[in-house]
Amino acid sequence: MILHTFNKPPQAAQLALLTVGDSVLLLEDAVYAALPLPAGLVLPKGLHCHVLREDLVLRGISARIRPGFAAVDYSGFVALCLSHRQVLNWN
Amino acid sequence: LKRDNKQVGMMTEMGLQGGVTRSKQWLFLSSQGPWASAAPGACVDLLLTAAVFGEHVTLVFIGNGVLQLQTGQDAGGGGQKVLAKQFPAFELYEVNRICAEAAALQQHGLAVADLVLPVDVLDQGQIRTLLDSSDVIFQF
Repeated sequence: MILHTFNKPPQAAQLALLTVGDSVLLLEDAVYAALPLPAGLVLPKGLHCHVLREDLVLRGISARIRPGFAAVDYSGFVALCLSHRQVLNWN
Repeated sequence: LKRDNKQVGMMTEMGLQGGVTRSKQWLFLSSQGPWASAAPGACVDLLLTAAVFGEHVTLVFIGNGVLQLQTGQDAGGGGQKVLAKQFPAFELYEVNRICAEAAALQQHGLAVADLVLPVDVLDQGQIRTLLDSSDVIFQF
């Protein structure tokens, strides 16, 4: 199981390499992908989805993320990194 | 080939000690066109550094990254460097495996026989298998 971090909204070709059980953490402008559709982005099923709270707050969208995304702070970010053998940053 | 001291320092911080520790599986995904940014060059710098330290290195060109394999790239003496001209050094530096994404080659109209160096052509499932068997993954 891989933790995928995204700094920009994920692209289809990148998402094609994710598999069920992987974790996703959206950072920086990638957090907009957690908005309700059509502003947000459909992610593959079976992923554990996280969003960095600080980046939501900066953009004023903390209250707008859709169900299925868990907001985490920097401690949560570290915990996610430590609980995965592999971390892959997509940029 | 020049090596960046900062990158070597970074590699050392990451626990690389040449042959002292068990070598790890390093996977590099290069996903940008050859002239899109400095990322393709940084990818080559880092993977050659890893190879010098005796790590097991695999490079996979995905998406627009396959355009780096286009033959006939010509900087025309304009001060820029054609990255592909460094690719023959991969063998010298014992980069273990070089691959390209099948769908991306097809999308960009590239035939394997036309590329600047021989590559293993992989589908997405095979690339995912590589991800799972790697210890360290970089995407550029």
